[in-house]
Amino acid sequence: MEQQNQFIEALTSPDTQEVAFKKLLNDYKEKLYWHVRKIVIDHEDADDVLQNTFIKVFENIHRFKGNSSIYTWMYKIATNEAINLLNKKSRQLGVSNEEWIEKQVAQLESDIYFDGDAMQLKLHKAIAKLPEKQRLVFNMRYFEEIKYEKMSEILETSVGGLKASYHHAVKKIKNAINE
Amino acid sequence: MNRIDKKSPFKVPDNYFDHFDERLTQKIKTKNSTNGLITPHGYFMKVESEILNKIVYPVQKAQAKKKHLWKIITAAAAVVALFYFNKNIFTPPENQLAEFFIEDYLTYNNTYEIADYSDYYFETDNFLENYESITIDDVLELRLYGETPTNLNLFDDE
Repeated sequence: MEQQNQFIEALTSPDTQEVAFKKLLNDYKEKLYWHVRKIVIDHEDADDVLQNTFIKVFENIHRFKGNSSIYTWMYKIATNEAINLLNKKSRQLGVSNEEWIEKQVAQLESDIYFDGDAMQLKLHKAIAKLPEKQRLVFNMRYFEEIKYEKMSEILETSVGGLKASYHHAVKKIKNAINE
Repeated sequence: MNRIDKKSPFKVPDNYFDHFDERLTQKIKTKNSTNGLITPHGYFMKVESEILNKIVYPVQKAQAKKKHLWKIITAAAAVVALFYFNKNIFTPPENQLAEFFIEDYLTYNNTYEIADYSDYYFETDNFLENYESITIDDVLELRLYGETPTNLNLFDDE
Protein backbone atom coordinates (compact mmCIF):
# COMPACT_ATOMS: atom_id res chain seq x y z
CA MET A 1 0.00 0.00 0.00
CA GLU A 2 2.89 2.31 0.87
CA GLN A 3 4.40 1.60 -2.53
CA GLN A 4 1.10 2.42 -4.22
CA ASN A 5 0.78 5.69 -2.31
CA GLN A 6 4.25 6.69 -3.46
CA PHE A 7 3.36 5.84 -7.02
CA ILE A 8 0.14 7.87 -6.87
CA GLU A 9 2.13 10.76 -5.46
CA ALA A 10 4.53 10.45 -8.38
CA LEU A 11 1.57 10.45 -10.77
CA THR A 12 0.14 13.65 -9.34
CA SER A 13 3.35 15.60 -8.83
CA PRO A 14 4.25 17.77 -11.88
CA ASP A 15 7.94 16.88 -11.61
CA THR A 16 7.48 13.14 -11.70
CA GLN A 17 4.16 12.48 -13.38
CA GLU A 18 5.49 12.11 -16.90
CA VAL A 19 7.82 9.27 -15.93
CA ALA A 20 5.22 7.71 -13.62
CA PHE A 21 2.53 7.81 -16.29
CA LYS A 22 4.84 6.17 -18.82
CA LYS A 23 5.42 3.38 -16.32
CA LEU A 24 1.69 3.00 -15.74
CA LEU A 25 1.11 2.85 -19.47
CA ASN A 26 3.87 0.36 -19.96
CA ASP A 27 2.68 -1.89 -17.12
CA TYR A 28 -1.00 -1.97 -17.97
CA LYS A 29 -1.55 -1.24 -21.65
CA GLU A 30 -1.55 -4.89 -22.72
CA LYS A 31 -3.59 -6.20 -19.80
CA LEU A 32 -6.23 -3.50 -20.28
CA TYR A 33 -6.23 -3.91 -24.04
CA TRP A 34 -7.05 -7.61 -23.85
CA HIS A 35 -9.65 -7.00 -21.17
CA VAL A 36 -11.35 -4.40 -23.38
CA ARG A 37 -10.87 -6.34 -26.62
CA LYS A 38 -12.81 -9.31 -25.25
CA ILE A 39 -15.67 -6.99 -24.39
CA VAL A 40 -15.86 -5.04 -27.66
CA ILE A 41 -14.31 -7.72 -29.98
CA ASP A 42 -13.25 -5.28 -32.73
CA HIS A 43 -9.62 -4.09 -32.62
CA GLU A 44 -10.35 -0.49 -33.66
CA ASP A 45 -13.00 -0.18 -30.95
CA ALA A 46 -10.63 -1.67 -28.38
CA ASP A 47 -7.97 0.82 -29.46
CA ASP A 48 -10.38 3.75 -28.95
CA VAL A 49 -11.44 2.47 -25.55
CA LEU A 50 -7.85 1.85 -24.43
CA GLN A 51 -6.75 5.36 -25.38
CA ASN A 52 -9.79 6.96 -23.71
CA THR A 53 -9.18 4.86 -20.60
CA PHE A 54 -5.61 6.05 -20.16
CA ILE A 55 -6.53 9.65 -20.85
CA LYS A 56 -9.30 9.44 -18.23
CA VAL A 57 -6.92 7.80 -15.79
CA PHE A 58 -4.45 10.63 -16.27
CA GLU A 59 -7.06 13.36 -16.01
CA ASN A 60 -8.72 11.89 -12.93
CA ILE A 61 -5.78 10.50 -11.00
CA HIS A 62 -6.24 13.21 -8.34
CA ARG A 63 -9.71 11.76 -7.70
CA PHE A 64 -8.35 8.29 -7.00
CA LYS A 65 -9.04 7.75 -3.32
CA GLY A 66 -6.73 4.79 -2.82
CA ASN A 67 -9.51 2.61 -1.38
CA SER A 68 -8.67 -0.05 -3.93
CA SER A 69 -5.56 -0.81 -5.95
CA ILE A 70 -4.88 1.42 -8.92
CA TYR A 71 -5.16 -1.69 -11.08
CA THR A 72 -8.73 -2.27 -9.89
CA TRP A 73 -9.57 1.40 -10.46
CA MET A 74 -8.18 1.31 -14.00
CA TYR A 75 -10.05 -1.91 -14.80
CA LYS A 76 -13.22 -0.24 -13.62
CA ILE A 77 -12.67 2.74 -15.91
CA ALA A 78 -11.77 0.48 -18.85
CA THR A 79 -14.87 -1.70 -18.28
CA ASN A 80 -17.14 1.34 -18.10
CA GLU A 81 -15.58 2.85 -21.20
CA ALA A 82 -16.01 -0.42 -23.11
CA ILE A 83 -19.65 -0.77 -22.07
CA ASN A 84 -20.31 2.88 -22.93
CA LEU A 85 -18.91 2.26 -26.39
CA LEU A 86 -21.12 -0.82 -26.82
CA ASN A 87 -24.16 1.18 -25.71
CA LYS A 88 -23.30 3.95 -28.15
CA LYS A 89 -22.73 1.61 -31.11
CA SER A 90 -25.80 -0.51 -30.46
CA ARG A 91 -27.97 2.59 -29.95
CA GLN A 92 -26.81 3.94 -33.31
CA LEU A 93 -27.97 0.73 -34.99
CA GLY A 94 -31.10 0.40 -32.87
CA VAL A 95 -30.13 -3.03 -31.52
CA SER A 96 -29.28 -4.41 -28.08
CA ASN A 97 -25.68 -4.75 -26.86
CA GLU A 98 -25.96 -8.53 -27.15
CA GLU A 99 -27.14 -8.26 -30.77
CA TRP A 100 -24.29 -5.88 -31.54
CA ILE A 101 -21.72 -8.29 -30.08
CA GLU A 102 -23.21 -11.25 -31.94
CA LYS A 103 -22.87 -9.22 -35.14
CA GLN A 104 -19.22 -8.45 -34.33
CA VAL A 105 -18.45 -12.10 -33.64
CA ALA A 106 -20.20 -13.17 -36.85
CA GLN A 107 -17.69 -11.00 -38.71
CA LEU A 108 -14.68 -12.50 -36.91
CA GLU A 109 -14.01 -15.10 -39.61
CA SER A 110 -13.19 -12.36 -42.10
CA ASP A 111 -11.47 -10.12 -39.53
CA ILE A 112 -7.76 -9.69 -40.29
CA TYR A 113 -7.14 -9.38 -36.56
CA PHE A 114 -8.47 -12.86 -35.80
CA ASP A 115 -6.44 -15.98 -36.42
CA GLY A 116 -8.31 -18.43 -34.24
CA ASP A 117 -9.38 -21.90 -35.28
CA ALA A 118 -12.93 -23.26 -35.61
CA MET A 119 -13.07 -24.19 -31.94
CA GLN A 120 -12.02 -20.73 -30.80
CA LEU A 121 -14.58 -19.17 -33.10
CA LYS A 122 -17.23 -21.44 -31.64
CA LEU A 123 -16.23 -20.34 -28.14
CA HIS A 124 -16.48 -16.65 -29.13
CA LYS A 125 -19.90 -17.25 -30.62
CA ALA A 126 -21.05 -18.98 -27.44
CA ILE A 127 -19.69 -16.14 -25.26
CA ALA A 128 -21.39 -13.55 -27.49
CA LYS A 129 -24.77 -15.14 -26.77
CA LEU A 130 -24.40 -14.57 -23.02
CA PRO A 131 -26.09 -11.64 -21.28
CA GLU A 132 -23.67 -8.72 -20.71
CA LYS A 133 -22.93 -9.39 -17.03
CA GLN A 134 -22.31 -13.10 -17.57
CA ARG A 135 -20.10 -12.31 -20.57
CA LEU A 136 -17.99 -9.90 -18.52
CA VAL A 137 -17.69 -12.32 -15.61
CA PHE A 138 -16.81 -15.24 -17.85
CA ASN A 139 -14.08 -13.32 -19.70
CA MET A 140 -12.57 -11.97 -16.50
CA ARG A 141 -12.63 -15.29 -14.69
CA TYR A 142 -11.80 -17.72 -17.48
CA PHE A 143 -9.30 -15.78 -19.59
CA GLU A 144 -7.89 -13.22 -17.20
CA GLU A 145 -8.21 -15.35 -14.06
CA ILE A 146 -9.19 -12.34 -11.97
CA LYS A 147 -10.12 -13.31 -8.42
CA TYR A 148 -13.78 -12.93 -7.45
CA GLU A 149 -12.89 -10.43 -4.73
CA LYS A 150 -11.15 -8.14 -7.23
CA MET A 151 -13.91 -8.66 -9.76
CA SER A 152 -16.42 -7.70 -7.10
CA GLU A 153 -14.70 -4.33 -6.71
CA ILE A 154 -14.45 -3.75 -10.45
CA LEU A 155 -18.02 -4.73 -11.33
CA GLU A 156 -19.54 -3.62 -8.02
CA THR A 157 -21.32 -6.94 -7.59
CA SER A 158 -21.25 -9.34 -4.65
CA VAL A 159 -18.89 -12.31 -4.82
CA GLY A 160 -21.89 -14.64 -4.56
CA GLY A 161 -23.56 -12.93 -7.51
CA LEU A 162 -20.39 -13.22 -9.58
CA LYS A 163 -20.01 -16.92 -8.80
CA ALA A 164 -23.60 -17.52 -9.84
CA SER A 165 -23.05 -15.56 -13.07
CA TYR A 166 -19.93 -17.55 -13.87
CA HIS A 167 -21.69 -20.83 -13.12
CA HIS A 168 -24.57 -19.97 -15.48
CA ALA A 169 -22.15 -18.72 -18.14
CA VAL A 170 -20.08 -21.92 -18.09
CA LYS A 171 -23.22 -24.04 -18.30
CA LYS A 172 -24.53 -22.11 -21.31
CA ILE A 173 -21.16 -22.19 -23.07
CA LYS A 174 -20.81 -25.95 -22.57
CA ASN A 175 -24.25 -26.45 -24.03
CA ALA A 176 -23.51 -24.17 -26.98
CA ILE A 177 -20.22 -25.91 -27.76
CA ASN A 178 -21.75 -29.38 -27.52
CA GLU A 179 -24.62 -28.51 -29.84
CA MET B 1 27.05 -54.51 -20.79
CA ASN B 2 25.93 -55.95 -17.48
CA ARG B 3 28.44 -53.81 -15.71
CA ILE B 4 26.82 -50.64 -17.00
CA ASP B 5 24.34 -49.13 -14.58
CA LYS B 6 20.90 -48.92 -16.20
CA LYS B 7 19.90 -46.05 -13.97
CA SER B 8 19.41 -42.87 -16.02
CA PRO B 9 22.30 -40.43 -15.74
CA PHE B 10 19.99 -37.50 -16.42
CA LYS B 11 18.67 -35.37 -13.60
CA VAL B 12 15.71 -33.03 -13.22
CA PRO B 13 15.28 -30.08 -10.84
CA ASP B 14 13.89 -30.95 -7.41
CA ASN B 15 10.08 -31.41 -7.36
CA TYR B 16 10.01 -31.00 -11.13
CA PHE B 17 7.11 -33.40 -11.65
CA ASP B 18 5.12 -32.24 -8.62
CA HIS B 19 3.51 -29.27 -10.33
CA PHE B 20 4.13 -30.21 -13.95
CA ASP B 21 0.42 -30.48 -14.82
CA GLU B 22 -0.39 -27.11 -13.32
CA ARG B 23 2.46 -25.41 -15.13
CA LEU B 24 1.56 -27.00 -18.44
CA THR B 25 -2.12 -26.01 -18.12
CA GLN B 26 -1.04 -22.48 -17.26
CA LYS B 27 1.22 -22.32 -20.30
CA ILE B 28 -1.50 -23.56 -22.65
CA LYS B 29 -3.97 -21.11 -21.18
CA THR B 30 -1.56 -18.19 -21.48
CA LYS B 31 -0.82 -19.09 -25.07
CA ASN B 32 -4.51 -19.16 -25.88
CA SER B 33 -5.60 -16.36 -23.58
CA THR B 34 -6.33 -14.07 -26.52
CA ASN B 35 -8.43 -16.87 -28.00
CA GLY B 36 -7.60 -16.08 -31.60
CA LEU B 37 -7.86 -12.31 -31.29
CA ILE B 38 -4.71 -10.58 -32.53
CA THR B 39 -3.43 -7.02 -32.89
CA PRO B 40 -1.68 -5.23 -35.77
CA HIS B 41 2.09 -5.67 -35.79
CA GLY B 42 3.80 -3.29 -33.32
CA TYR B 43 0.44 -2.10 -32.00
CA PHE B 44 1.46 -1.78 -28.34
CA MET B 45 4.45 0.41 -29.20
CA LYS B 46 2.31 2.60 -31.44
CA VAL B 47 -0.56 2.98 -29.00
CA GLU B 48 1.78 4.05 -26.24
CA SER B 49 3.13 6.97 -28.26
CA GLU B 50 -0.40 7.86 -29.45
CA ILE B 51 -1.64 8.08 -25.86
CA LEU B 52 1.40 10.05 -24.73
CA ASN B 53 0.83 12.51 -27.58
CA LYS B 54 -2.70 13.13 -26.33
CA ILE B 55 -1.61 13.83 -22.76
CA VAL B 56 -1.03 17.44 -21.79
CA TYR B 57 1.09 17.61 -18.67
CA PRO B 58 0.37 20.50 -16.27
CA VAL B 59 3.96 21.71 -16.63
CA GLN B 60 3.24 22.40 -20.27
CA LYS B 61 -0.03 24.05 -19.27
CA ALA B 62 1.85 26.25 -16.83
CA GLN B 63 4.29 27.25 -19.55
CA ALA B 64 1.39 28.13 -21.84
CA LYS B 65 -0.15 30.24 -19.06
CA LYS B 66 3.19 31.97 -18.48
CA LYS B 67 3.39 32.74 -22.18
CA HIS B 68 -0.15 34.10 -22.08
CA LEU B 69 0.67 36.15 -18.98
CA TRP B 70 3.13 38.31 -20.94
CA LYS B 71 0.39 39.07 -23.41
CA ILE B 72 -1.93 40.03 -20.56
CA ILE B 73 0.63 42.21 -18.81
CA THR B 74 1.53 43.95 -22.08
CA ALA B 75 -2.12 44.49 -22.94
CA ALA B 76 -2.94 45.86 -19.46
CA ALA B 77 0.07 48.19 -19.54
CA ALA B 78 -0.93 49.42 -22.99
CA VAL B 79 -4.50 50.11 -21.82
CA VAL B 80 -3.24 52.13 -18.87
CA ALA B 81 -0.70 53.99 -21.02
CA LEU B 82 -3.34 54.81 -23.60
CA PHE B 83 -5.62 56.33 -21.00
CA TYR B 84 -2.70 58.21 -19.43
CA PHE B 85 -1.34 59.76 -22.63
CA ASN B 86 -4.72 60.52 -24.15
CA LYS B 87 -6.53 61.93 -21.20
CA ASN B 88 -6.48 65.40 -22.76
CA ILE B 89 -7.90 64.17 -26.06
CA PHE B 90 -10.70 62.19 -24.44
CA THR B 91 -11.80 65.04 -22.22
CA PRO B 92 -14.15 62.80 -20.24
CA PRO B 93 -17.36 64.30 -18.95
CA GLU B 94 -15.95 63.83 -15.47
CA ASN B 95 -12.36 62.95 -14.51
CA GLN B 96 -13.75 60.33 -12.23
CA LEU B 97 -15.44 58.57 -15.12
CA ALA B 98 -12.18 57.28 -16.55
CA GLU B 99 -11.12 56.05 -13.12
CA PHE B 100 -14.44 54.31 -12.58
CA PHE B 101 -14.33 52.78 -15.96
CA ILE B 102 -10.79 51.45 -15.73
CA GLU B 103 -11.34 50.23 -12.20
CA ASP B 104 -14.54 48.40 -13.14
CA TYR B 105 -13.01 47.06 -16.29
CA LEU B 106 -10.05 45.59 -14.46
CA THR B 107 -12.14 44.38 -11.52
CA TYR B 108 -14.91 42.61 -13.39
CA ASN B 109 -12.91 41.03 -16.16
CA ASN B 110 -10.44 38.28 -15.58
CA THR B 111 -6.99 38.67 -17.07
CA TYR B 112 -7.75 36.44 -20.04
CA GLU B 113 -10.83 38.47 -20.92
CA ILE B 114 -8.84 41.69 -20.63
CA ALA B 115 -6.25 40.33 -23.04
CA ASP B 116 -8.97 39.31 -25.50
CA TYR B 117 -10.88 42.55 -25.23
CA SER B 118 -7.74 44.61 -25.58
CA ASP B 119 -7.03 43.05 -28.99
CA TYR B 120 -10.32 44.45 -30.20
CA TYR B 121 -9.81 47.62 -28.22
CA PHE B 122 -6.65 48.48 -30.15
CA GLU B 123 -8.28 47.75 -33.48
CA THR B 124 -11.50 49.68 -33.15
CA ASP B 125 -11.86 53.22 -34.41
CA ASN B 126 -15.08 53.63 -32.57
CA PHE B 127 -13.64 53.52 -29.12
CA LEU B 128 -13.54 57.28 -28.65
CA GLU B 129 -17.09 57.60 -29.86
CA ASN B 130 -18.27 54.83 -27.56
CA TYR B 131 -16.33 56.16 -24.67
CA GLU B 132 -17.78 59.63 -25.01
CA SER B 133 -21.30 58.24 -25.09
CA ILE B 134 -21.00 56.94 -21.51
CA THR B 135 -21.89 59.27 -18.73
CA ILE B 136 -20.91 59.14 -15.09
CA ASP B 137 -24.56 58.29 -14.35
CA ASP B 138 -24.33 55.24 -16.62
CA VAL B 139 -21.36 53.91 -14.69
CA LEU B 140 -22.94 54.63 -11.31
CA GLU B 141 -26.16 52.95 -12.41
CA LEU B 142 -24.22 49.94 -13.57
CA ARG B 143 -22.53 49.74 -10.18
CA LEU B 144 -25.84 50.15 -8.41
CA TYR B 145 -27.34 47.15 -10.20
CA GLY B 146 -24.15 45.14 -9.94
CA GLU B 147 -23.62 45.18 -13.69
CA THR B 148 -20.25 45.33 -15.40
CA PRO B 149 -18.94 47.88 -17.92
CA THR B 150 -18.72 45.18 -20.57
CA ASN B 151 -22.52 45.25 -20.69
CA LEU B 152 -22.15 48.55 -22.48
CA ASN B 153 -20.94 46.52 -25.46
CA LEU B 154 -17.92 48.76 -25.82
CA PHE B 155 -15.78 45.94 -27.04
CA ASP B 156 -18.32 43.81 -28.88
CA ASP B 157 -17.95 43.38 -32.61
CA GLU B 158 -21.65 43.95 -33.14
